[in-house]
Amino acid sequence: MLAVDVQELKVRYGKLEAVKGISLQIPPGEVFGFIGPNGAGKSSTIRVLATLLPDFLGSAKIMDLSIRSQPQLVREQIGYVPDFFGVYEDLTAREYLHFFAAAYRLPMSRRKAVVDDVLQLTDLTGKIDSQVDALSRGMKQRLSLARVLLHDPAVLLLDEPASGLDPRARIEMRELLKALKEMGKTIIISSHILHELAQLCTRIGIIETGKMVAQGSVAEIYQRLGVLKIVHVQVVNQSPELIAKLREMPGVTHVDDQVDRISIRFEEGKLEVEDLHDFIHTQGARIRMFQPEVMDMETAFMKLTEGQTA
Amino acid sequence: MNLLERYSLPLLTKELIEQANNKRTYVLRVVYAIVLYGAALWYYSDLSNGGASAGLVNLGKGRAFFQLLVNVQTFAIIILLPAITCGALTVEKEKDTLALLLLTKLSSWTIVFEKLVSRVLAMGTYQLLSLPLFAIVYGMGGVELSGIIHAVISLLALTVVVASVSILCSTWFRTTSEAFILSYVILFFFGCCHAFVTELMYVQTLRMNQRNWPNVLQGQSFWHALIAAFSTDTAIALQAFAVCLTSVLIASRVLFARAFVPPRNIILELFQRADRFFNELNESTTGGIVLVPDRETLPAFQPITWRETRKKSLGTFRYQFRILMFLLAPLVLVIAAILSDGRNDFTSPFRGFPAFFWFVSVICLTIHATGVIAAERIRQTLDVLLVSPLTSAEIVLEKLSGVRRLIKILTVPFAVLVLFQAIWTGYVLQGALQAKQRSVDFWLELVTATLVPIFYMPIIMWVGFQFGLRLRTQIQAILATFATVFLACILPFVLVALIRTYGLRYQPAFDLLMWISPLRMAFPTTEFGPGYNLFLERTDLAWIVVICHFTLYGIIWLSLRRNALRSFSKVVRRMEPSITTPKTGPAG
Repeated sequence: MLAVDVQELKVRYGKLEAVKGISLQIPPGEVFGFIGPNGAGKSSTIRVLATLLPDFLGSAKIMDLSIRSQPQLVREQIGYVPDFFGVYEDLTAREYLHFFAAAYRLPMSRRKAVVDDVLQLTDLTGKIDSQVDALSRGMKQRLSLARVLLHDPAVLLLDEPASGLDPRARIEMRELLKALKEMGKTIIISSHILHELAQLCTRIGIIETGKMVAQGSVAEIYQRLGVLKIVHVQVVNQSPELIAKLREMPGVTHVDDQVDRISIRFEEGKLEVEDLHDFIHTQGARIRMFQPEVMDMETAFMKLTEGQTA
Repeated sequence: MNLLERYSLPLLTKELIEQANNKRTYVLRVVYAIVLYGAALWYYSDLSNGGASAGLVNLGKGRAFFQLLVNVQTFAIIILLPAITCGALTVEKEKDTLALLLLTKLSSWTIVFEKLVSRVLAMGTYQLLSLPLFAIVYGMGGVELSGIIHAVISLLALTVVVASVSILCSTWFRTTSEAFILSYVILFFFGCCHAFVTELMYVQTLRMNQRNWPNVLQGQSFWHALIAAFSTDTAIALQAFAVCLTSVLIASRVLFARAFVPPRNIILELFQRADRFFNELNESTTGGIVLVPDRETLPAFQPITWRETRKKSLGTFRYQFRILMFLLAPLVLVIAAILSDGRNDFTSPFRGFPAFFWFVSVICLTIHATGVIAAERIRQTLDVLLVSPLTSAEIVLEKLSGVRRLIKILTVPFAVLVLFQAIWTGYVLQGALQAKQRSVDFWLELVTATLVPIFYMPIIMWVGFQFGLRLRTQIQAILATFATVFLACILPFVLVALIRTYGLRYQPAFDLLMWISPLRMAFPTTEFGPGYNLFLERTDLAWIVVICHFTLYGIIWLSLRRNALRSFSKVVRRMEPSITTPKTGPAG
């Protein structure tokens, strides 16, 4: 059984087609990162899954429940954190959580224990009687996460949960999401903090203008973009011969002789980093620095969404 | 930089373009034109006896027509202008765009002034709509040119004053609702002061005339001269200019300081202050005895109801009790005065109370009902609520639980009024009326007076809720609700006027259509109500009219409720199995 199964999803706002046939299959326990520029269709897709967008074409299921025909059952399986806080500021944290515990029909006998548990998980136990409007942005966002955990949903839909948070709050949020991942929750998360998604997600999908540009594990995405691999090398006894031999090496596409380093670009499938290192070493060069450039998610994102391959 | 660039008024240009691009601007103008021309038509039809005596017979009768037009314009300025103007700066605050404006080279004064001018111009377009009617009135005769000029200057002055006060409130307050309410409070205060000063001068003049004091100014007394000067066109214009200048200056001085004030719940703060005062008083007098303590509970099964009735300003028992006392206290005082007076020769000792109660009720219900969804949107909590397993009907009905509770509170003074009026009419007054040979059906009055709040208040609630659900801002929803209530009251009369004027074969029976208007039923103990109306001297006919009226309004009530419950999901775009009809693609 798939946790999320989306087939040919299309969303239209008037004349604008925001989502143009996206398909997703996410097994339980997976953390799926949704990456895309503003207006790409991430939030629309997540809102469809959150049962908040009735006008869509295609099929969407959560835990084998159809969003179209069984939205009420779907709501019990999902926890949705929108890209804004969504907290009642006239309540205390305790009242806020009890409010949603009642909305999710949690039995009265279990509510206190559940509320205590989620507060502990989100590290907000000390703030239980604080007014929500007195909490920091990071705390409010953690409170939002506490809210969606009350009914122990199978799937969490997080729309830009780290948006607008300071670095500390972002790290706390990331650690919290890692804890949820270890608890076996299926998480769909969209974010602009791309390197954080890389650390957290088991799979990512890159979306642009309503279409899925790339989808797969982080390693697969990197591999697909591997032609762009760059290694920066510093050698003590650099010579023009070494540069010439590097340029003739199979797989190497470009060697840039810079003032303080040699930048070597090569196709990852044709040449391994280790082989390049051995080759330079066998040429008698004394290596002072050998630094493969990490292909970060930002680079991958920029390349993919611009349609570039190199 | 040339002069054109220097004085290009970019904010005013942007505001006017925005207004021109907004469909609502044109819709409101058309609605206003319909009301204005409808009222004129109704009056003209009345004047010409349903078209039977049109033409030369009406010559010279323009004065009353002219007065009606001026009154409608005055009413429109007082109703529409604060609504148009109060959002000028509060909306910028709510959208966090005021900071961007303040960072430009536009001075505070320019920002306030350009916003003010944009609203005055918008109101000006409404007033221009009446020009053809003024021409007709002038053609009918009975009005001098000086009178028309005086009216135009007075209307312009009123426009400037109302807009200035509203823009000051918009600068000062955080939300449009606060600015809207306080604008009316200040304007009411201004109106009272103006009336008081005028009255004072008048009384002073009379006293001086009685004492036969020597005239000191060109054969007139000083007070005569002052009153004359006070009401000249120039003086009116100068007063308006002074108010405008003062308001704009204050607004521009406080614009920056008030740009980033956090949102406040003023009503709640007032209640909390009152709480502290009464608690201290209770401590010092009784030692802190509390008969009905507010319990701090957590939600059990209806969380939205819990929040609406326990966490909102109007939620807790003691707050509701205070509102009730505010409404009941004057009524109880008048009842006590009437009972101690011993007179029983007047039919309706509570003439002003139904109007006062309705005024308060319509405002309270509208603000509360339009705000239930708007508040969720402003706090961005609606989506969070919609993804919970609560059904849409549960959400709607629980969200309105606070308003329903308010209806119960507001019903109490009506009930007291009805009960006392019934006793008064049935037992005290019956003899006096028989002596005057007037027929008053005691039961008809009692039933009508009882049904009126029971039917009308939920209808206002559902109308307000529907507008709050569908319109972008609460202030638009409030205005739309007020307009609907107003139209429901006035349209039947306009309809009858149209039939009288253009109906092929006018029959007096058409006048029964006027009984669709809630105005006819809302004041059953007056001559306007069914019990006293001359046309309904036949009690059986009056009963039929009353039954038909409330059947119609019962159908409206149920339709509004059903429509709100059914359309909620569609409007808020929440997935419901019953509302989704995929046109293509596989069913999910």
